[in-house]
Amino acid sequence: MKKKNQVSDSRREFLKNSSLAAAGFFIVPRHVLGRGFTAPSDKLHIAAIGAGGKGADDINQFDKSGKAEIAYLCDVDDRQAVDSRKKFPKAKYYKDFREMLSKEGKSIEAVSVSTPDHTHAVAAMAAMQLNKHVYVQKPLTHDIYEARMLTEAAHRHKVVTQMGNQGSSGDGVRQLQDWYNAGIIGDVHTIYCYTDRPIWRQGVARPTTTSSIPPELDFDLWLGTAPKKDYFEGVLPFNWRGWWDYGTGALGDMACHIMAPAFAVAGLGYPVSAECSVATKYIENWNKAYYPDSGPIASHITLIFKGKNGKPDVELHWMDGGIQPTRPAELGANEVMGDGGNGVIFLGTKGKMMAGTYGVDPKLLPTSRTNEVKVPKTIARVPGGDDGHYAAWVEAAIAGYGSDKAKNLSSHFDIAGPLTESVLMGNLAIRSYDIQKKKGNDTEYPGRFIKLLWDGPNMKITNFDDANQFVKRNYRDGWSLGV
Amino acid sequence: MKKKNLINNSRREFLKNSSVAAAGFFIVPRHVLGRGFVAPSDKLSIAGIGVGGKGQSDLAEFSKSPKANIAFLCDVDERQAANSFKRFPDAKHYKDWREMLDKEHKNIDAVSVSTPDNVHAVAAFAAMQLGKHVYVQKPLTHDIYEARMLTEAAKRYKVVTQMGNQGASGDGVRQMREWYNAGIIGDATALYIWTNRPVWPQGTGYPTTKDDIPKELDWDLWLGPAQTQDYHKEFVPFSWRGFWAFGTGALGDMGCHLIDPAFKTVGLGYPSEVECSQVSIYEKMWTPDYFPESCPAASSIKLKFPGKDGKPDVKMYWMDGGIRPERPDELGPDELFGDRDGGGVLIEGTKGKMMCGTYGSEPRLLPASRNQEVNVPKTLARVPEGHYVQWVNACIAGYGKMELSSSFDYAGPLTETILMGNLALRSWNIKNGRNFPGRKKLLWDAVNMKITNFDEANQFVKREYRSGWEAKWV
Repeated sequence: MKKKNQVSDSRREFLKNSSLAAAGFFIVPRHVLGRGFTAPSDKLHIAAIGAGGKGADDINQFDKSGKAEIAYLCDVDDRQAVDSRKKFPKAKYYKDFREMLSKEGKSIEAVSVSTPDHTHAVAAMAAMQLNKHVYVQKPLTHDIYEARMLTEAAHRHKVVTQMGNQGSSGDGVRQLQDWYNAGIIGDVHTIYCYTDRPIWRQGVARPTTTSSIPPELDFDLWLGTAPKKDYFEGVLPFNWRGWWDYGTGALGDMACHIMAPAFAVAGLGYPVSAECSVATKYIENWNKAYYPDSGPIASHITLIFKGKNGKPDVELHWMDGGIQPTRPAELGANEVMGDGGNGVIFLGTKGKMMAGTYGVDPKLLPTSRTNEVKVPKTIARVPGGDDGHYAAWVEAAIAGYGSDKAKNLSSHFDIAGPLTESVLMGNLAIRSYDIQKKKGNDTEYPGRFIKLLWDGPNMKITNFDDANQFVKRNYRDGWSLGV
Repeated sequence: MKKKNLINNSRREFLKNSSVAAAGFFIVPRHVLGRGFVAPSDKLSIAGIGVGGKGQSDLAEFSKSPKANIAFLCDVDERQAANSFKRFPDAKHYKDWREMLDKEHKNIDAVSVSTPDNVHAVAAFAAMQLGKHVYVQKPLTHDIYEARMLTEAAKRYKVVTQMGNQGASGDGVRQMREWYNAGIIGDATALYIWTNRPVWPQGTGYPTTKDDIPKELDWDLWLGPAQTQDYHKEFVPFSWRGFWAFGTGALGDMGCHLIDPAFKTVGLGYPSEVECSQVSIYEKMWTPDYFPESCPAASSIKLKFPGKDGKPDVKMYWMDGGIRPERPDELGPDELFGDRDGGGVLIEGTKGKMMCGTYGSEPRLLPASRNQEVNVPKTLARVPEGHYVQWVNACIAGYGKMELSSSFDYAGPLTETILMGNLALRSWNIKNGRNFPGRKKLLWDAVNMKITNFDEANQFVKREYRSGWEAKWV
């Protein structure tokens, strides 16, 4: 409720103070425009940080809602911003989100963050601290600590939040929830999530050659919180995903999509342990590659979640890089598991079910059960399904913090925060696997042969302190989360 | 029995007919030499096919027995052979094992085959047909069909056989079997077996460089039954392992070592189904590398063995390239899973679990506290002489006289199981337009050696030999 007033306040201030204030006179009241038309003054004024690639998509989706005004575009790379600037010629363009928020804060109601992962938290937090609603691409953050901070900040600043795992608004995950809530598979005890990603080069050494920085790119701003290192060709606009300084690997790319149904169905919180193994690459015979700067080509992560209220513990397996779990015995030899390369499989005390990425194409196993079993629809569908994920946030932001629309968002930070933390626990395990210790002439890898025990409330690995460096990274001087 | 005679016959013939026959007069009876000395006539005359690398160490191990005489050395690559030539200066050299067997078979009692995988079966079979005992490096063969043929040939020709998975003679697997036979973990239901191998670059595609064939190498002979193709320096002497034309990948390299303890302990036969997944690598964004001629960098395989005599089905999970199964709950968070090299075996039974490292090393019950509590009698004989000398002794004793750790009646089905994994990996890469019809569960009719739900997979049961290398199996 209070937020609604704040929004209204800021809209009023916007009309009063912004450089566009003179335009206020021309704002057409809604009734003049007729039914189904939204007056510009009732639209959500969105600033987009990261305006190319997935950011451009997101902006288009907000625009399609008919209730959003793409008011500001911000990108550190002019090349990436070209299309969005063409499409939204009235939007003012910035390179530095800090400058944009500082100068235009009063004219902005909501912020969409679609930067490389390492900038998510610092940009989103800055916006939230100005009480802006935020839509943040998946994974919510780069670090576990950042995810925790954003989750708390959403309440502190009473803003409407949504993570960009659009599949969480799809019907598939709700069908899985309906089956589960009706007890069709009993209590879930094991979940397999898998993907054929990464679909970019990963498990490689950081190039030692530097390239000249393209004139359209402000690389220092692009680096943001990341350590100051040389630019190399190909690190952007996409391949930063494979470098821990910036990205979060296959987990960061796909786990928020593929693990979201697991969280929604089983109501998972923080894991209590994490273990991993990774595919090893050999440069030459007997010479194993060691590329700790880059995510692995494939991994297998196991997270354990303590059962609540007498329910069994849940063992969640993540496999990426093409490695897949075993086919459930109930799946016919010639049937496709998941969507082929990706999927989620639930093993319960009374049955099994599976789906593809984003929870699409949900099926009970054996698949003949899918049509035999009828359960009531207990979970409301999102109009438009996964495409409705964007409009739902726009509408919820207009309705304000605490509104039903905000509470019903598929991936507000109370959901997205713990989900992202679990995704990042996988990365913590992967990076701990590569921790080297010199012992005389020998090199040891103490994080490789153990299970990491996690104290969720205190965000601490309790049996291998070196792993805790991956809970929260150090930002470059001059950058702070401000909490 | 008959074989014993055969050996004696051939030794007698050797003395009669060979170019060295004149030496027969000088053979010294054993009693003259005194205790611990072996008369030359009681020695096993061994021919080594492939005498560098692992072949070199195999021959060195045989020669630790005073009863072994390394009499012939055969290698297609003189560089590989150099060390063995030096070590066994009296041995006669050959490049072509066909010529060696043809000319010298009367002087040979036993043959050791340590070539690239694609040559194992044809070389071993040729030796067996001549009634020679054989020691064949792991994996026994390149193809499932070949493994079945060698297994049958061992009985038909009554020769003493051993596959070179030397860990099979270790104490570890015997400790595991004693626990299992005493019912400590009940009936096995799931086997998890993993390795950090391949330890060479794999899944990277066929080499594109054209290299000159080194003068010391007879490339055509090296190819053996493999189809004619260009020489690439990557292939010799080691990385042929990563290409299906010659090798059998990580499974072929380590599967026989790692799966053996589980296979023997549980007493497995032929699997009834297999499925796999493998790592996808992207050098180019969005387009996975596609190298069907190359073994993958990492894979996960599951085989099912139908339960026998009312026992439960057994599921075997194989993971290589660094991917491991999850740690069992009974293992403390800081306790070592498998071994420190990155390999291991976990057997889950209806009443408990046990684990070991590669080659059956460090067997232990889970949780670790059980190792102190549980005491079972030692019912199985250990092999203090080791895997190699065990075979030397068994050859001298004759067919059917001594039990071996990895004779072909056992090593054959073990190898077939490993090669079933490879059949699944290769089927995974069969492309039909944009589809991959082999990415499903494959159902195996073991008796007839046939995949029943995906006929294209059957091309991997038995490959086509190059013309001139065909074997007359039966």
